[in-house]
Amino acid sequence: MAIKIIIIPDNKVIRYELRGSKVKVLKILEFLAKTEGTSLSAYVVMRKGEVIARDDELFDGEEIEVYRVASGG
Amino acid sequence: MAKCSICGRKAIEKIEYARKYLCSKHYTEFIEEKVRRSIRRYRLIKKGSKILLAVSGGKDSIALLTILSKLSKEIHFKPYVLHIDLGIGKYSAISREIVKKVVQKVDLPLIIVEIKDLLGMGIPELAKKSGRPSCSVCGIVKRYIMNAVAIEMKADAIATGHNLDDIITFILKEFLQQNLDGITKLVPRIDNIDEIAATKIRPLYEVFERETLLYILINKVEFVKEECPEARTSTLNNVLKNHIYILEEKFPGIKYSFIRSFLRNIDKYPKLYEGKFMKCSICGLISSSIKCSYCRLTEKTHGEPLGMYTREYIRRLLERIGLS
Repeated sequence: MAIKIIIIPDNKVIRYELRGSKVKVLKILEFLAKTEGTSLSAYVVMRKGEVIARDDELFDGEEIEVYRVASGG
Repeated sequence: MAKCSICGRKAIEKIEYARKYLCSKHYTEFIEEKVRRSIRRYRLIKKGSKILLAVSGGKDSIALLTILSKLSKEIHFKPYVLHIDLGIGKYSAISREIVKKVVQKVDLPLIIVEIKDLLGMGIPELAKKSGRPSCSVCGIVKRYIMNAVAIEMKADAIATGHNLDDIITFILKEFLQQNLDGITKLVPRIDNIDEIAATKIRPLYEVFERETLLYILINKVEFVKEECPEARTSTLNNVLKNHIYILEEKFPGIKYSFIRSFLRNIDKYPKLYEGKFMKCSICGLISSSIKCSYCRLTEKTHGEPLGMYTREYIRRLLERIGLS
């Protein structure tokens, strides 16, 4: 059971393994922020083209796009 | 589920420093109001003025374009869009197409300056020939062209998409390097100098970087998602910015209180550059020495300074599209 995370802009794909059947967006953000050494606000999450909030729930098999706020361009 | 503090619908974001939750509609209005307030507070745009929007296609400049095209109807000013095609392969081609599409939707005049057409080579080749880092060459070329276009078309100001995180990052960087006169330029508005430098304004001065991204994602405006292939990732800027995000998360509102105190104290910083500007002996635009950095750069890459030629090229381009 997992959530597919696509990191934008590098298009890196990460699988987030679920412990139960669902997880809050906040948990995913905490996981990413810890991994990359940044803050929760360094990301914006979208599901099916819509921005979702930190308290939204994600379910097994879902795919999300996580945008890194800071960009070098 | 958190609810919007204004309408009670599902909230998509909590604004920690304002202590409120907002839905998509009220979030959009909140950001637009921030820009409107900055324009008023810092006297950025006057009614009837001609404003040149510098749009690369990235999230900040696309947010600037979207918001200012809306506000232009309310404040009654005339926006024009300037896109500089930097000649960085696929990245520049994508950027150019996206800018064209977004500009077409908001129906504004678009000026495209193509570096390869102007100088016969793009930024990577210019960097290689000059022996300077790409970002430094890109900065010199972009600043020169923005200023030259604004001067040639007699625009009242050039608006750029710098957000609050950019500004605080630059301030901290300049402070760390003790470049104190650089700090004094990091204000919402820099007035013109006769006919050698156009006025520069930063309407997104109080908007967080996260807010510009959220604004365009919510409003489904297309933007360039790719990173510039020439950009370096582990720069001092990036590290500082990351720390600023962490600080804001731990102490909500710290960015605002910092920038307000900074602007209150701006006169206490020495303006070492004041009175040091002169006309470039080649092209007649702003310079800190006899030759401006663009003329010096092109002299190195092309064997002769191309400032005057560039101004003529821009004049002809503006004539062709009926904007001279």
